[in-house]
Amino acid sequence: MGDSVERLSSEELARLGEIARLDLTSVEQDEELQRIVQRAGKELDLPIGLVSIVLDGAQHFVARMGLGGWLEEANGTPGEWAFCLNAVETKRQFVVEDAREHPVVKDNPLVHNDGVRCYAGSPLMTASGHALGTLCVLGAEPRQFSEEDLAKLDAMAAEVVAYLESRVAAR
Amino acid sequence: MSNAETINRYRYRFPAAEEAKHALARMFGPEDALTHWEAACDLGGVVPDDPDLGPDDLRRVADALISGGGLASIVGRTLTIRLVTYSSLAATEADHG
Repeated sequence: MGDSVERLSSEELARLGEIARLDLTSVEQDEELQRIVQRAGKELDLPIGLVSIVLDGAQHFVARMGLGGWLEEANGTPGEWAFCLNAVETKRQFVVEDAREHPVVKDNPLVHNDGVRCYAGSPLMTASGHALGTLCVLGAEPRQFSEEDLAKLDAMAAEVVAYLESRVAAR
Repeated sequence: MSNAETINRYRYRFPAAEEAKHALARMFGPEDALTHWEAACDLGGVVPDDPDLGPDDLRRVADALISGGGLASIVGRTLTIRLVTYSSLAATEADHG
């Protein structure tokens, strides 16, 4: 392993440290998180809901609804295909009404090969100001999201973080 | 499909050991990264400097990294996701001929 490798920034190391602190690499299909993604899908009337944790090089679905095929088998995707990365980097919601037209994601293989057409993701913000990933919903048709939709998603994302913190506190 | 092949529809290559070693080095620096890699290989029953680690070997190393928790587990989970993505997409490509 050469000496020329560029180290992760202190901010990114701290963010990943939060993910490790909350033990999120070992969480899969948690029941409470499953209830939240199902509610998110129902309230926003979309078939796919995810709690996605953005790692270094991949996103990991700690809860999911409506996936199939390789996405379900991998329970995540390589990081370069993660729509959620945008919400993590900006610490703001990322919304895609028509993925085939959106400049950020229109060339993403999840759009061309897997049919993702709309997306809305709210960042999972810890008290220390780090974005762990997102609560997001996706669909196979273009879709406009109302302010009410996005406010609901933000509120449910806060529930996800509160639950993740409570898991650690309960140990 | 061999591990040397790119999955064309996704422009996705097999996640070789160097990718995980690089991720460990970005996280821990080169010396500590080597320590984590060697410990995970030992736990996974894999030779650390084997140049031809296949998917099963890498999966064992990834599992070992995950089991240790902490920041290294993030590299392990990432490696697992990237490995399963490759194998699953490769199987789909093979089915479609």
